[in-house]
Amino acid sequence: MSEAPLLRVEGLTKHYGRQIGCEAVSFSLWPGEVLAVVGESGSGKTTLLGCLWGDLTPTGRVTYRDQEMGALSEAERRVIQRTEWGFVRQNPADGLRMNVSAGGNVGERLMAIGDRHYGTIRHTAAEWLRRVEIDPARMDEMPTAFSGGMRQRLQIARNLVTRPRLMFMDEPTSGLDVSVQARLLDLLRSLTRDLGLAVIIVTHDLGVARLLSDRIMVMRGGRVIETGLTDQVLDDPKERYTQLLVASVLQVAG
Amino acid sequence: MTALRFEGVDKTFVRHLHGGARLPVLRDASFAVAAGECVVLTGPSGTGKSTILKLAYGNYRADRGMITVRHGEIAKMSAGDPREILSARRRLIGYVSQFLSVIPRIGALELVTTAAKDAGHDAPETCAREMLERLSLPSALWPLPPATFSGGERQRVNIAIGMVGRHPVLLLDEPTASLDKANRDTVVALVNEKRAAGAAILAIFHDQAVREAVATRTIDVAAFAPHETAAP
Repeated sequence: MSEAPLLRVEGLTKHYGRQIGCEAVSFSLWPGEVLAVVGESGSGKTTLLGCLWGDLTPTGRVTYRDQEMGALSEAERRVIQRTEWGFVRQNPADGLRMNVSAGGNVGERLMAIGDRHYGTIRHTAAEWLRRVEIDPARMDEMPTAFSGGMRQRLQIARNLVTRPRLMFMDEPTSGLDVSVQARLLDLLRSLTRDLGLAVIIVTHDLGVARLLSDRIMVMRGGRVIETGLTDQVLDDPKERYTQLLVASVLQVAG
Repeated sequence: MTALRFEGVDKTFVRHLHGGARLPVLRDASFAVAAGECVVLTGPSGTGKSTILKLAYGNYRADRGMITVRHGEIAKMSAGDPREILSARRRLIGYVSQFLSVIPRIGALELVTTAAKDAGHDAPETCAREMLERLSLPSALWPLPPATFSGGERQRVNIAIGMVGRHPVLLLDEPTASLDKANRDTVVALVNEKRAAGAAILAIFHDQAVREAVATRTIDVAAFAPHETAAP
């Protein structure tokens, strides 16, 4: 319990002109913890992710393992992004190189950190394809030959191959068919558990948040309006807006 | 030794989507459950029995008062720190509900084995097999995910997950609701073994025979009924 947080966020704020992107967001994330950021579109959750990852330049402070991210050079930040962090985009085409083979997509991140031995890279890539349930026999095919669910699993393998500590995920299941979603959620849940990954996952789907996350942050209009244990916030929501979100989920009898 | 304690706990639900309606459920709820006790909550439906269990598990948030689990250390279930609550759930307090909510693709045996592993058993799979056998879940079902099971089968998996743990405090919310007589008897035996081994148990059992077979004491939740009227 006394161990240090992996990521500490203090007063993160981003305005687009007079428009609020996100405002005064503060939280800490510990190793192995999965945090879901929920809210409707326009709530600021994707802006928050962009600020944390470094696509956007917010005010406030982001500290990752005692390093203040704002103080790093662009090159130093890229090293962290390529090794200790990962980012799973909503659309796999944004996170993959579509004209490079599946094996190449996974191997590329290894080469980026200095791995040069072709046999080792290929072997490791095959292993990660297996872990995300893609037949390694297909490693020389292009992602364009894959279904949406497979592409998303490939993107996850590409990220995990460097054994990151922290993953950012932006609506990773929302572009997929329901049956494919269930499989991917299962996979994500067992991978995060087995690898002890810390994850910040942005989703508008409370079912995804419930299945994957330990904690939840509800955002509206760029601000965090409610936060707590995932089952607390979803089963005993305090804020009017959270109650509205929870009430809007179709109840399906178990 | 007190293992679970409620001190002056209030709980009111506010329904913002229904004109801010206030639904007071508990007022000044105070009681304690000691190690080796099985306390059964009684009272008609809707008087807050399940709410008490959910507050104890940190699933609902208390408006006022303090809920603690004591086992050498003191864990505050009513305070807002999610990490403290999660840590207490792993080590100190178990919860068996009527419903099973698990990941769709994982088989029954693996679910129970994982729970046994989390509890630190030396041979988790053996332990899980014994538990499923005792609850007479047909072994053909063991590799299958419980999502496809009948209500009673699912409930037995749920009980196995809760009972295979070694939590010093155990919360049971109607675990026998959809079981036949033989399985009810098994659950009664399991509960009594847990208690004899020193667990503090807080439970809801509607079946009178089961209640009489397990309870060392009952608490009528009417004692915690609020007399507040709805706010304008």
